[in-house]
Amino acid sequence: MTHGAIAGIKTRTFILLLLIGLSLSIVLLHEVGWLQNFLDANAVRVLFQSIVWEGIPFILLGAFISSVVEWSVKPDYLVSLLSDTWLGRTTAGLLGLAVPVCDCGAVPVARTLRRKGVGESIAFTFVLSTPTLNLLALISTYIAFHQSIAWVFLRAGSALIVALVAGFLVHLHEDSLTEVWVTPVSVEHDHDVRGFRLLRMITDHTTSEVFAIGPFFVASALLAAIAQGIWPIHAVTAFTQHSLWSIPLLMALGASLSLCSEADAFVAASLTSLFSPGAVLAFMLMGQTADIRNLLLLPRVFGKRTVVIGLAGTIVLIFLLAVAVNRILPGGFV
Amino acid sequence: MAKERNLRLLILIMYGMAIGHMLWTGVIYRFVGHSFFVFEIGAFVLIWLLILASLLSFRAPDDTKEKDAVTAGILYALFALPAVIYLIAVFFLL
Repeated sequence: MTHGAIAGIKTRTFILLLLIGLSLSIVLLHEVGWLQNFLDANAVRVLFQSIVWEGIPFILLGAFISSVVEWSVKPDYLVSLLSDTWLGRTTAGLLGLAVPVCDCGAVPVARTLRRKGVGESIAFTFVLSTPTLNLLALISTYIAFHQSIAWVFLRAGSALIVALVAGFLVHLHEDSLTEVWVTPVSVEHDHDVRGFRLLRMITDHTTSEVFAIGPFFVASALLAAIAQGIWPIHAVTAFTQHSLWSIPLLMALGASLSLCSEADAFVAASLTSLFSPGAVLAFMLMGQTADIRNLLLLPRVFGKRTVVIGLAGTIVLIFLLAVAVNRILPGGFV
Repeated sequence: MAKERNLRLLILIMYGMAIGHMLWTGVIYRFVGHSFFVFEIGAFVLIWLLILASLLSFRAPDDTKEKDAVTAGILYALFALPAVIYLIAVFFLL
């Protein structure tokens, strides 16, 4: 089984390097005097360091808690909770609050749930909601958005709506699903490990998680800081603050960066001055649902039809929610 | 591989030193404000726990999975960047 954070690693690295290269080219243009009025190099440096040092503790803590859950919670406990009803569906959507696995850990857990007999639509709801609806992601959102409880509720509520509706869409087609889940069963963890060996397993897993997630977080922080520093604000705000056009732009960015759910709020918060609130929300939702990593991993757990229906529904829902937020929050379309 | 594990350990130590120095000198407040203090302390403790565990895991079996060395190298360099920038600035430029 491919580790969640490793999936799509070349594509994501390439996109990030391309964007950073583009940004640095503009810095070079600035250095020769073409963009002198637009770039504040000191602001870029301070912003980059702020985003990184704010986010690093959450990456470390998130990776550690996910590892503890990964190695100490038996999948049977989860399976007994998730029946194929609305209650089970809602429980799957909220399970992340009790089992704080990040987006990298959600897919392997969903795979275990499917293997244990949990329904396709329930497991799909779990995969979409858990990365966002877990305590660490919500705390990091609260802090990243300057103690704004509104952003926490907005993000959590939107993620739950998207997960439940997308799960229900999958459920509607569940009877006609002819594909059989055929991923070979393998024993990934021995949950009977105890004592010092368990501690070593957890710390090794934490270190691997940190190194799988960290580079993308640092690169995204650099990109966000450069973007803030170099983009000619007055020229681009007409586009980035636009109630509709700003949304697909950040949806595409969120999907291609596939940031960890404990870290993406810090990058998103740094974009709020530049982009519309709906676009920032769409950035966070896309990064945890219909991103490159999930596009590569979900077909290994779910049938092709489920992935197509579920992710298409997810993308449309995120766009509609973002449009609604842009309509309601600023008090009208820009 | 052992070399890769050494590289990871080195990067972790650089992060541990950088966070420790920021907490000790109070520079952290300039970057993240006072509300983050508890999380930075937690990160400091955790990162040194990982360093200790990495030191104790040196005899663990090697990871034999095939990896793209160029991509892996770029990603390690990216991750090390903030800690390296901070440590160079503190110990060589200031």
